[in-house]
Amino acid sequence: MLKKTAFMKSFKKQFELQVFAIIGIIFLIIFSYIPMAGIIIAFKDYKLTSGLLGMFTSEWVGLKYFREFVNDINFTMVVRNTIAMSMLKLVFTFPIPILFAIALNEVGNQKVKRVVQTVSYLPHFISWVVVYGMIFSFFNQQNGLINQLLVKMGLISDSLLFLAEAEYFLPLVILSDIWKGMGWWAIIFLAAISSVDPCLYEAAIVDGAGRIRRIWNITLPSIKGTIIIVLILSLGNLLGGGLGGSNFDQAYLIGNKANFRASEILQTYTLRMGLAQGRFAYAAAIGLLQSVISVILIYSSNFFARKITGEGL
Amino acid sequence: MKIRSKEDVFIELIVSIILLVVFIITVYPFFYALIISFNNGIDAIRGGIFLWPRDFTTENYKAVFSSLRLLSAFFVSVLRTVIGTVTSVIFTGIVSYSLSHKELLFRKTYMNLIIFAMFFSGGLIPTFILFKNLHLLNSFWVYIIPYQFSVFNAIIMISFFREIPDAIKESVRIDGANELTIFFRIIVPISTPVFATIALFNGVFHWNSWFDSAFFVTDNKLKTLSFMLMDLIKQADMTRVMAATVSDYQRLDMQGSTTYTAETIRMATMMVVTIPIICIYPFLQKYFIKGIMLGSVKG
Amino acid sequence: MIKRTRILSLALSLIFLLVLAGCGQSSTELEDKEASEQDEANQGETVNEVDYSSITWDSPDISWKQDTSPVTFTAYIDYGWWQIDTWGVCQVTQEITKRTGVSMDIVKGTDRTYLQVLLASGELPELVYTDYLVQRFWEPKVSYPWNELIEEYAPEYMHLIDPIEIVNNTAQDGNFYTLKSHYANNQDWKDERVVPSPGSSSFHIREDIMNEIGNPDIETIDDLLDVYEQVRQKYPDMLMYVKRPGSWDSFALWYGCEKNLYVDSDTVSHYISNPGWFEYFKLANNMYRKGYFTKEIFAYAGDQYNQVVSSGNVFSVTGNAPTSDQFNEIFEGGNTDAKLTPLLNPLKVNGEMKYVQLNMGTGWSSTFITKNNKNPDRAIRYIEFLNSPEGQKLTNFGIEGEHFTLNKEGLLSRPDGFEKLTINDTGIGLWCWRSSGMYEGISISSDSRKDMIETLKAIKPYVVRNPALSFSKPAADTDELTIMVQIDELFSTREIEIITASSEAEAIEKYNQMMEDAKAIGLEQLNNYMTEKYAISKVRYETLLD
Repeated sequence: MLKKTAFMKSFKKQFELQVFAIIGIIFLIIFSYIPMAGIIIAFKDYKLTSGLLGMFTSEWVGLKYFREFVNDINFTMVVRNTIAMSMLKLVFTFPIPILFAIALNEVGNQKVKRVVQTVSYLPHFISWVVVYGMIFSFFNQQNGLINQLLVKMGLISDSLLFLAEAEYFLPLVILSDIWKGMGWWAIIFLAAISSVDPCLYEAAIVDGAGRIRRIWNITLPSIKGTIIIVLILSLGNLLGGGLGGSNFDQAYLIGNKANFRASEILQTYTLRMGLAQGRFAYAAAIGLLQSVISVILIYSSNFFARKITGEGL
Repeated sequence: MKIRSKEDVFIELIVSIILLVVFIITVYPFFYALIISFNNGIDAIRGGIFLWPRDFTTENYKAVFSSLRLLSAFFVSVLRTVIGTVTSVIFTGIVSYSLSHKELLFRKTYMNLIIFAMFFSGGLIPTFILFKNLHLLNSFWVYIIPYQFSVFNAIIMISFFREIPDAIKESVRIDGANELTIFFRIIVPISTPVFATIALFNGVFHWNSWFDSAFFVTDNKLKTLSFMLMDLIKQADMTRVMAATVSDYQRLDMQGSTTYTAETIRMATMMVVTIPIICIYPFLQKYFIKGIMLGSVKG
Repeated sequence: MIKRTRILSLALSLIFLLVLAGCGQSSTELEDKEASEQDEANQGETVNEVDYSSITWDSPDISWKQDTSPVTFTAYIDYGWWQIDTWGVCQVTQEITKRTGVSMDIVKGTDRTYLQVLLASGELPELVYTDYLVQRFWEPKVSYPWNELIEEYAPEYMHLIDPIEIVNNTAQDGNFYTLKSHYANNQDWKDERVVPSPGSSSFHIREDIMNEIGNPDIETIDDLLDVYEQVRQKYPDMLMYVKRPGSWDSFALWYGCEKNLYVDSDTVSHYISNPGWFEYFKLANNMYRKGYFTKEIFAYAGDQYNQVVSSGNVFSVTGNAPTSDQFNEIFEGGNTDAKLTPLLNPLKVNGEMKYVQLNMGTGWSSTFITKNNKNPDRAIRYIEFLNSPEGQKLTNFGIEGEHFTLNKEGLLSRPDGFEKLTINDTGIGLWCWRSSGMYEGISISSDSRKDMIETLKAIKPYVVRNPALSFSKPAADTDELTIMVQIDELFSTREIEIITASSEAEAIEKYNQMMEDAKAIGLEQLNNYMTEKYAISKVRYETLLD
């Protein structure tokens, strides 16, 4: 009883804040949780012609679609490719924007800083379709610029099959992802850096701290929270390709029948096996699998982040 | 005058190299797209254009502008970007502000609900049916309402708001200000960098969205620019591939032409859709520097 | 905590039920309305027996002419490349409205899943024009059977339809929900103006280079390989061979291997079961190892293939029928010194002609009159109009006198200045949703691209027609369809690995591995299914046509 009144008291005190939070949650319930009922078809023999109610009335098939996926002869390959692509992106694509933001912060000349920053985020606006068009122009075997340069410089004797050999797929994917996302994701970190109190730097200079020590002792710690949040979010969307969520686009465009041993990933493969046949139930099952993995990843990374650094979502 | 130490010189050298490399690799492909978009398409196929258009033409742009209801689409896109961004940043901001309070009751439950919503989705069919029942289909508001609360942006905002010392809020609360006043008078001004960031992310998201336009809107007057251009890119691809299988008076004018190709149309299209949004950035940039106030309060 | 979640989930399910109830209600309301409308229609019908067999297309009391008051249908066109998405802008649509009163509110699909979403949510427009997973529309819940509508609203139409078309489109329940467009029946096929699809694979070779080396005869694959060797002496950097993505490799076709069904007397199997592939792979692997083509050609999408061939650095191409015309236009426009010409005769393998083109076509695109259609009577009569010679001419050729006249060879003569008109002005060739093969044939044969027409005429004698086969392919939502898709996928990736193997032994090993994997996926189940279905449909064709 006492507990209840204490509860009511503090609830009343934060009544306004509760209203804001609850409005937000109601919004999510309407636009995210209600449609989620559709996940049920992942376990149903759902036919499109049976309409909305068919989602609930059609026959249960249990784990049929999951079994189909796990027993697929390409299962191992697809899972391996997805993990390789996602992990490499996390290792290479994630830190670059942070380094770039710190580098930008060290520029004394404001004009140069502005120009480079503006320019660096241009690639974000180039859609992957167009990016692939450019990759083709630069990397193809017939008259690609890169092959011509490498041959002229005597580094190779014959043009390389950048686009058709599986071994070049991941490097292309990582490089293009870094290129496209570097300037864009640096924006978040720049916002964090600009919130750092300039007095801290002045004080450090008075103490005789050099540039590197200032970066290490002031800049980095003050954006640590942001880095961790972004890292956790990237881990949450690990299978989708990190913050940019570029796995599908890249695998779909840079991947082809010739380099499929490296480029076929969960999203492209299940698109062909599921949605392309209008098999929404199969697509839902694979989507559910991905969601579960994502949630596990985000919770465990959040847990460890809290344990280790004391910061988290 | 400050004396530059060896370390300073070293750092500046490294930073300059990084910036130079970044500048070249990001500007050049964009520049490349620009020159290709001003080049005769058939000529461009031969390759080897790297510095300047070889066979200059504005035909690609003429094709892009002639085959689209560009003006109305542009208007729809601007409207959705402005309305969508402003409302969503405010809405998401207020909710995030509330959730940034550690003492908020049920906070954990709320956060869990938010995180789950980020990763589980019911898929296209239930969403479509939901929008139908909310009468959002074929309405301008389908571009605005479903995006009011962005989970990703909320998480970023919450993490920023958490850093704001309680002392600031308390001092105003004692004066009897309500939470909305605190949000608009205190939180927004001292968090301009994060608001600018989120607004930029949101604006660009709205500007580039085409999927909702393709799936939830059938009225041609309500289609967005990005959708139109996506459609054009797809058509340019398809007609080249299809060209053939249909008789020759069935071809688009685009295809009958020997001056442009899918590739050059794509480049021109990209320029048309990108340049307006790129121009916004310099205006936002000053807000990234203005956020210093937060630090000064903290100190 | 537990309590809280319980309340939450309760609230959630409540809201969900409310939303759901909302839809449930609206859909039953709709059904009621439909039912009552149908009752009215039935009551209005007066019983009168007429002998419809005497009615011809020209008859003044043909059904579509009875009511030409304005009516608008919402229509879904499931083709992203469809050039026109507004009715009444082009001349043909204006003319259709003038003659029939029909206009359309068009929604053009940009993504193939969209139509599936509309289907699942019960939001289909009144007319649907598609060729994708059409069996899902063969359902009385989804669309009106044409036979019922015809009986009710256009009884004479039944007597004007070729019976084999009805067999081609009859669903399991005995109804036909559509008649696919662009079907050439046996009578049409005999006409020399009717030719195979312009999309057919064909082989094209550089005329200018052939002239340089003295135009040696090419009768067999070995002859062609000799030519490659000679050309390579002259142009060491040239790619000898490129294949258009999506087209079937000409070399495989010369070996009798199509990526179509494989029919051996009464057994129907997936194409992977065709033993011809084995020899073909050995040849292709040999060509690859000799350096006639690179692995990169398998990485090309349509656009990159265009770029590479247009560069003029390719000696021979597998493309489709208009490939020569298409690239010669580009070569001219770009001042590239090159010219392609089709190699009209298929090549022999070891002195034997194995080339074959199996045509199991029952037509191309389906028009469905969905249950959401408020004027199914007008819809079926509009179909009748499109089917009539008048409608076919208008939609396939344009407005007579203004866009075309028929010359004495039975081909189209276009007036001066016609070439300046674009499809957006005229709309010719888009709205022929009931085009017959005959009318399509006339318009293809009247095309300005002469190489294309010659190519198609050369293919025609090798075409084997068998529409009964189309029923042996697995239908949507069957396990066999999944198997088929998986085997298609298997083949499309493994064929590249086999062809690019570093030795013949390795190629053979990879081929065997592929066959083993196909068996593991369920090749046998698929083949049995198709053979069984074929037997049934063959009987049906035989009995229904007798």
